[in-house]
Amino acid sequence: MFGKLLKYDFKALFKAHIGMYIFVLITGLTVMFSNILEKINPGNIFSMFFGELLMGLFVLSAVAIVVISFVVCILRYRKNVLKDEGYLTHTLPVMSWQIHVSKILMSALYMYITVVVIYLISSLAQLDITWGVDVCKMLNAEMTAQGMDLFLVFMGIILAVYPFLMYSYIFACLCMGYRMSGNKDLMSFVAYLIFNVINQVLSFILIVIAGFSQFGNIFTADIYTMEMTEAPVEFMNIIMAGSLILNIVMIVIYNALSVRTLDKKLNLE
Amino acid sequence: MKWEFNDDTPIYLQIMEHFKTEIASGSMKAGDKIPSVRELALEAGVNPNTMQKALSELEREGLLESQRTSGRFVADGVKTPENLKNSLAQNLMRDFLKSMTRIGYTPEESVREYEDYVKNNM
Amino acid sequence: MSGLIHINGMNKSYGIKHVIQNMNLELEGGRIVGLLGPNGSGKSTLIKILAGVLKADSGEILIDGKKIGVDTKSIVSYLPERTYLSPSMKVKDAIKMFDDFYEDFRPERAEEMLNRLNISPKDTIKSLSKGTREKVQLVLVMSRDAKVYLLDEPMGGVDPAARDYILRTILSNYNEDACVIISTHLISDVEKVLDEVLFIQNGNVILNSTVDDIRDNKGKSVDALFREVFTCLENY
Repeated sequence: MFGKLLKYDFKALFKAHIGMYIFVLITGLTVMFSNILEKINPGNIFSMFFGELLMGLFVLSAVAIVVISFVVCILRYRKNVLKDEGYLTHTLPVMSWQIHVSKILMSALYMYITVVVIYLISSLAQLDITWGVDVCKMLNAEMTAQGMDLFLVFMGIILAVYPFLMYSYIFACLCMGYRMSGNKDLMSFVAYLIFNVINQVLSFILIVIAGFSQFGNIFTADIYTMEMTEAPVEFMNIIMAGSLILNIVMIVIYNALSVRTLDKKLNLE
Repeated sequence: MKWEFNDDTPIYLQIMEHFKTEIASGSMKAGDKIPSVRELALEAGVNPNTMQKALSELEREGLLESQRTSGRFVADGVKTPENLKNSLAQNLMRDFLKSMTRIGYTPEESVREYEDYVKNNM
Repeated sequence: MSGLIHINGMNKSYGIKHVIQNMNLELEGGRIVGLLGPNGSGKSTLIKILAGVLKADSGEILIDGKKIGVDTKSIVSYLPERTYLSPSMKVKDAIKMFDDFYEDFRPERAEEMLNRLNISPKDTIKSLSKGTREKVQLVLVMSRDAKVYLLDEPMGGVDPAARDYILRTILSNYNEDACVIISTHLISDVEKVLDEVLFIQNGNVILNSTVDDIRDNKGKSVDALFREVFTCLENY
């Protein structure tokens, strides 16, 4: 049954996404043609004027589809789990956690697919498939020179986990908001603010702990008298590792809250 | 015949009346096969259990009989249409007198009214 | 020996409002039961709890001996008051989905009923009129060989011909072991089709009787009795 849920969620999101991918492909192709024109005829007026414009358009469309994918997945969750379609969803012979996890997995999957699609199309536009690798290598060299050899690894893991975090977060806000009476969307926004504050507080605590462990009492330390040793690098490492752990813990908490709400406090209108 | 039901008597009794009327008038004859409970219930627009109850009662009264695999039939030895007509007529006359009494007629006055009516309208 | 549906000491409140108070109920299979009561009496809440889209605050609720959950959802066919199908879905997609998720779904039955209604499987839900949409949902629900059918106001806002069609559909899909619960306030239409009626007021069952008993003992139709009972209560 869980597999069937995954299949249906995937198919439901497919139509919205495929349209966007085609759109980005088109803008990417225009950039590609502009680049080809540039190579054939350097100094060409068209490619000089419009090249930049088309590139800008492509970047804009890439950003747009990431945002739209995010919005589409969230609206689908709301519609399919918490609004009228919920009458069908919650009477299917499946468990609440399966309904929820299926949406999380498919939403995150589509975010990954979207990023990959953008990468591929931008490679096409520049006629260079390894541009990403080159950028990473360059970045790594820079960071290692500063002593931050783990930077790229941490960043990579954090970015990979990020879609799960964002969707878990927003879905939890929706679930908590929809438990309440009154304007449920407004209550979801209130939940968002509350969770936001909690996140800020936790991040602050993390920074303070990391700071104290590396720099001593950060509230009284004076940057001009401190010895610059390995501390800043260690500090960053602790921050990044701490963030990662914090994110994973929050993902678990958000999902637990959501599933518990769907199981015990569901109240469709 | 179209099924019609009133509001105050149990439906199963009204179904039985319906069958008795059909048999009495000769529309249904001894040995005729009747449709299944489900089909009849659907046709009449009533609950199948109600239809079943009516048919069972009719069986008990000897108007219908069921043969194991072939279904239900109008009984061979059914009370002659005359007897059936008679018992249905008794019901109608009882209802007639009850209604007339309610308006204020005595049984004798009711008979006179009836005879006048027949003379003028038939 | 408890019935197909067993409810013991069920309570449900929204905030301070008690919608269902200490309800006890046993229902057997092979019956068509009418759930009758004014708006806000708790009919819909009862049905939603049995369907599993709402959770009771307390009480023992069993369908076929099982607690409300995945096991009961596979034997309960629920028709809510609203349109719960995705507007962009085609009718044939809905059939496929029911077929995929419900083992007791009979796609041939659904296709035949839709055919007779002249509804094309290629139509999208949003292209259908409200009445047609409701018929599609009814067809899907009745095409399952479920043990419990929960129909929440299946005839509200629909013309008399459609109401007839709905009752005929319920009768023609009648299953001797199943329990069909119809919640409605349009009693006169539905009365002939019912075995039993439950009158619900303020979250309690105030009457549980067969239709025949009411007609025999009270000498009036269920519709007439209902009006009497509920107008009387309204007056104080």
